[in-house]
Amino acid sequence: MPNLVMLALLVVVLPLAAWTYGFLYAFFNRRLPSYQDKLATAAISGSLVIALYMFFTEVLFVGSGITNPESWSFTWIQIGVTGHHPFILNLDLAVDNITVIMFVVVTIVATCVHWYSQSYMEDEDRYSRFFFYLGLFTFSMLACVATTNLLMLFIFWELVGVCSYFLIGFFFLKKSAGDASKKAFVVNRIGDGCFMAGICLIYSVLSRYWPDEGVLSFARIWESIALLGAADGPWVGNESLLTAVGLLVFMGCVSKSAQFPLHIWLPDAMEGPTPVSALIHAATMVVAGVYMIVRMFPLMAGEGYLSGNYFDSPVLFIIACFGAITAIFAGTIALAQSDLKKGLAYSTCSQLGYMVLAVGVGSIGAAMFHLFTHAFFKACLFLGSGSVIHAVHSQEMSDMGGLKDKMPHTRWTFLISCLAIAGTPLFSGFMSKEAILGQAAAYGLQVGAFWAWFPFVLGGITAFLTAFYMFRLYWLTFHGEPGDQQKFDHAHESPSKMIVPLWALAALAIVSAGIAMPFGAGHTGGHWFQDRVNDQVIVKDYLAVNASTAESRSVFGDQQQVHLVHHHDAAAIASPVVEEFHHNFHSVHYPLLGGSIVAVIFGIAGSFFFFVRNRNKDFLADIPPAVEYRRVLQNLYYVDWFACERVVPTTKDVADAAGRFDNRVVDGIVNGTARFFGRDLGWAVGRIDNIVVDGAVNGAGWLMMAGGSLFRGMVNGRIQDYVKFTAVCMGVLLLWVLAAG
Amino acid sequence: MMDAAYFTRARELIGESMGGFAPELVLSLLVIVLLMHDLFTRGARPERAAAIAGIGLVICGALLWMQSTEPPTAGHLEGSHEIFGWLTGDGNHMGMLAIDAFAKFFKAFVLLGTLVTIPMCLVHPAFANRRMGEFYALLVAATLGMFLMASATNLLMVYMGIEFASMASYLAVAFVKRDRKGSEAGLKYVIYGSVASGIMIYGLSLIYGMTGSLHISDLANADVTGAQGSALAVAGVLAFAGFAYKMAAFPMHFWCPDVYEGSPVPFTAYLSVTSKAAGFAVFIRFMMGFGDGALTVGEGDGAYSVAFGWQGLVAGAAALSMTVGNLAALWQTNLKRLLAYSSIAHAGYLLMGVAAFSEGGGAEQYAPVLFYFVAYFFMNLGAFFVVTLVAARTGSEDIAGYRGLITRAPFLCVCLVFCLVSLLGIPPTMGFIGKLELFKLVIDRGLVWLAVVAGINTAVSAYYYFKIVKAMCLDAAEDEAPVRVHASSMALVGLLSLPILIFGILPGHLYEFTRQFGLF
Repeated sequence: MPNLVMLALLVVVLPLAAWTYGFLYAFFNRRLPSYQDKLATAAISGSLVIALYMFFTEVLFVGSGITNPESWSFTWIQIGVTGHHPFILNLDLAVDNITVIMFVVVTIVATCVHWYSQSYMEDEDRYSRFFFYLGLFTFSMLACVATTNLLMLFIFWELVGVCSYFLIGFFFLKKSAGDASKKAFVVNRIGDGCFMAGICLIYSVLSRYWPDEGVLSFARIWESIALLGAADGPWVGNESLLTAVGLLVFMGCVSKSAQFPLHIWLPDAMEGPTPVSALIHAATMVVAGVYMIVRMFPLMAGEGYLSGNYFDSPVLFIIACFGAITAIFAGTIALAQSDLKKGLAYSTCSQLGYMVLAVGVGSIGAAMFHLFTHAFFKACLFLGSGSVIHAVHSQEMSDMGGLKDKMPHTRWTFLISCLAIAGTPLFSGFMSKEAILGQAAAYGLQVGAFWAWFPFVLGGITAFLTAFYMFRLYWLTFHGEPGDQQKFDHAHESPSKMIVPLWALAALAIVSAGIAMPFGAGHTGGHWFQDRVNDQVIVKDYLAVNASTAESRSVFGDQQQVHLVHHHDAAAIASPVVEEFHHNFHSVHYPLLGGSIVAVIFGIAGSFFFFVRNRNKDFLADIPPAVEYRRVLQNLYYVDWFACERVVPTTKDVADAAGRFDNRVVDGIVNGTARFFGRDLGWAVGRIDNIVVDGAVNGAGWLMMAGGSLFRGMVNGRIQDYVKFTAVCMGVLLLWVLAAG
Repeated sequence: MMDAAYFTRARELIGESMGGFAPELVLSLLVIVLLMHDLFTRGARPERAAAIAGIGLVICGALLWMQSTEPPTAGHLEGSHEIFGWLTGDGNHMGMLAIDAFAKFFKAFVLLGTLVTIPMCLVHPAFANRRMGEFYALLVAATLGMFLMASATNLLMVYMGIEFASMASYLAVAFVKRDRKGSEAGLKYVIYGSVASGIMIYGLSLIYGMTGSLHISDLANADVTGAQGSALAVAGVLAFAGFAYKMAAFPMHFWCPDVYEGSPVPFTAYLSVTSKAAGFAVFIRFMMGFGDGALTVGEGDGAYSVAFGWQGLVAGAAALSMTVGNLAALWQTNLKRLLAYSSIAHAGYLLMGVAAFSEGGGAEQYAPVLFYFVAYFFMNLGAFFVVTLVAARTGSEDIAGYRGLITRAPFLCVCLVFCLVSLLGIPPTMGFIGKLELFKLVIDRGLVWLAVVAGINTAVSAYYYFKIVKAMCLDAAEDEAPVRVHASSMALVGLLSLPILIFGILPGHLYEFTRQFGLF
């Protein structure tokens, strides 16, 4: 096993070790150890150290990072014999730039949250259990990003989902928490079902092409796309199926990453403890969907992937639309939220929309970049909101206000993160959002049609909205008059265990984009990230190293050269499409820069005008034409209402109707038939009638039991009878053999 | 012909064969030592007898481990796996016992089963303060018989091996004197075994009559005269009866519930695992000896072919075994009887795999059956060990006695649940992987109907396995007192049930391992 893979395995296994210890301890002692918190924190801190070591020695200060990914694979399950179409499932681990960067994101945020929770959760019941779940979650999340196999990814994807379910419902005595966890679970099943169907389809297509190996590894999936250029590639002749698979897999992202219309679970998930919201529902688990479609990007891009022309792919355009709609949709709802955490939750939805949009317009680099920067400032915002909630014991912003002097640390870190998420220059969010909007605008220019501007326009409006609603939260919480004087008087700054993580994350909110820090040897500023994470580095280098069949190597060889040249020297781009795209990107760059700075200034200034100058806590209420719209926003565009009041009851009605149909029509037919024969054929059939009326299940059960009774009756304890029955049985067998042979 | 040179050569052959026979020799010696132990010991010393048996078995295991299964490249038995052989006219080596990987697998299997039985005997209350040397001698003798079954390549040796194992088992079942149930079970076992043995030897003699050969690998290409398809079918069914008796499969399964119930629990566990495995080993070797079942009758222009559908016979027996076993198990309330029927059903699942073997299928086709045997070893012995421990403490073998076991003995209960879930065959257990492999093998070979029957049977069996789980985990205990067992017993139960989970999640290496042990 290669060295880096060993390190990666260590990163993943440490939190699992802490969890396993707690599990075994609980098994024998019927309670968790009282030091589970220390144990879990120590484990994740260890993971953090290793992850940072990998990051600094392999990715950050080394040219383009890992261009020669190490991988390790072993056969998990093989049913059947090689050469006879066995059923094979593999486990794959690989360490490339994305893996290491995801490790860094997860371990940093998780470590901060572990430290923070020791103070925040101090007085709660089931304190140890909280860290027990947290450990399991951290392990699953790290494993989810360490594996390079779609099935393994799915397994850990489900595991993080289960942890999320446990933690949303952590205060399960509260009905709303229980309901929220159920809602999250059920909504996620929709997307996961589609995802699973997509995986099954991929397996069935690819296993025909590579019958003797586990085909769900990323390398094989990428290679299958590369083979679209070959005459007999696995997807050749199945192109429409490829589109369907792309969409099905994307549905997994829609539910996990809270995209419209399956975003409804995420705001409710704020019922969980605030550190959980920061870790799971802002920084890590919800971005797993984005991470997954980044990994599956060639699959989504389909045929366009070979030529670098992603812009024709219908799947990608649909993805871009989902992202854009989610971004603006959640952004507008956030305008009217009175609950601090829910406001942040909708902002998470909106930012996730940006990331999905970026994948849709063909830039996995921009998507990952925003994922990376967003994790830090959003976790900081959530932990900051937790600090406020800890102080005033309320999540309603009407109870807050004027806290800036009472909680200076919380206030400053919150402000820094707000500036970052709003996209203020010199903060990390500026760089990543700029990258996404630039890609979206270039996409519009490239395709040329008016609809292709859709993602950019919505994304641009959202940029303004983000600045506006984020600063609304900030002004209403920390400025103005106290909403509740009594709560205000009791408020105090949080202890240092909570403050230190806040400052750590706030610092990262500034420097993580590479500004103000000498990041990257030979690279400047915001480019450090995208030089390391893009499809050339991730997919093609990996394939170049690992392509096993000579055939795919030759098919891929030419393209490979093209892209490697492209990667190292932008001037030598061979593909005219890619060249044009780069030209477009550069031509929109400067106008966009100016435009977004204006949007941020207007956004912040606008919210200052509404919420500080006019102290207007009831935003939009005194502008007559907007009142109606405000009501729509407060009702969340009626999506939740539609889901809970229409979809769920309709589903129940359909189920009831099916049940009634079954009862009346099906049973009616059965009963009627049975009665008819019963009347005519007397007692013998009357017996059958009874069985049929009792229903198929009872009948079958009765048959089984009757059969069993017969066979049991034969073993009656009398050895004479045994010999007799044996003779009969052998006669039966002989007849069978003679008849068959 | 019978000159001095012949005898010299025969002596040399025997001398060379002794090397391959070393594990069996150790077992024979062990039987004598154990009998002597009782004669020269004052008072009951069950632990010492157990220790002697254990050490002897370990020595036997070490010899078995070191034994080479590669055919010798030089010497009189050049190129042959077989020992105690003679040279035939055309220069072939024919032997009594095969020393090959397949035999080694089953010998190791039986040996480990015997080793696990010894600690079970130590905690069995009826065996406390008894002179146990005699019992262990019987146990080891049965093991020796099964060793012979695993390697037998000659019809006489097949019969001898089966009888050897059976004789020792009859005595062991009735070992506890003045125990009515045990004595009755022993007597039934003897009578039923004699019938089976008689039927089998009749079938074997018919086969010998038609093929003129006693050697298994010679059956397919024997110089056959006057054989007829239907006569061969009769002979095949009759011979199969003897094997089915050892496998506890239809149509010779009737002895199984009574004997399992009546015999001491440790010996029931032993029988259900080792005896079945040895029965399968000898039957698979016998069946594959027929090749594709086609015998050539006559020579030259007048030659014609006689086919006998082994596959049909085995598939039919498999389907009926699992159906009879599962359906009858639905009614059982005594756990030993229930597990007896469950073991009949498992004989059916295993036979299903055997039915899918074909002559050209290669050594790999055996892997699913061998893997399932490994799974069966852990889950059945694990289940029986828990039953032994609980019966020793509560005196109950009834499902009612298991109510609320989860609070009374959580560790034992969890282990038993693992075993039962694995017997049923749901993930993440070895039983699931094993069944999946069997199903895949059977479907690949076109026996879809058999897979469907097995699928329905698996669903039916959920009822009675979960009946036990429900009683243990959901029903309230009548007696809340904890069931205390010694830590070493707990450790052994854990050791038996842990692999069920480990190999259920990571079956790869074990599967690869079992693939080395196919029959070549």
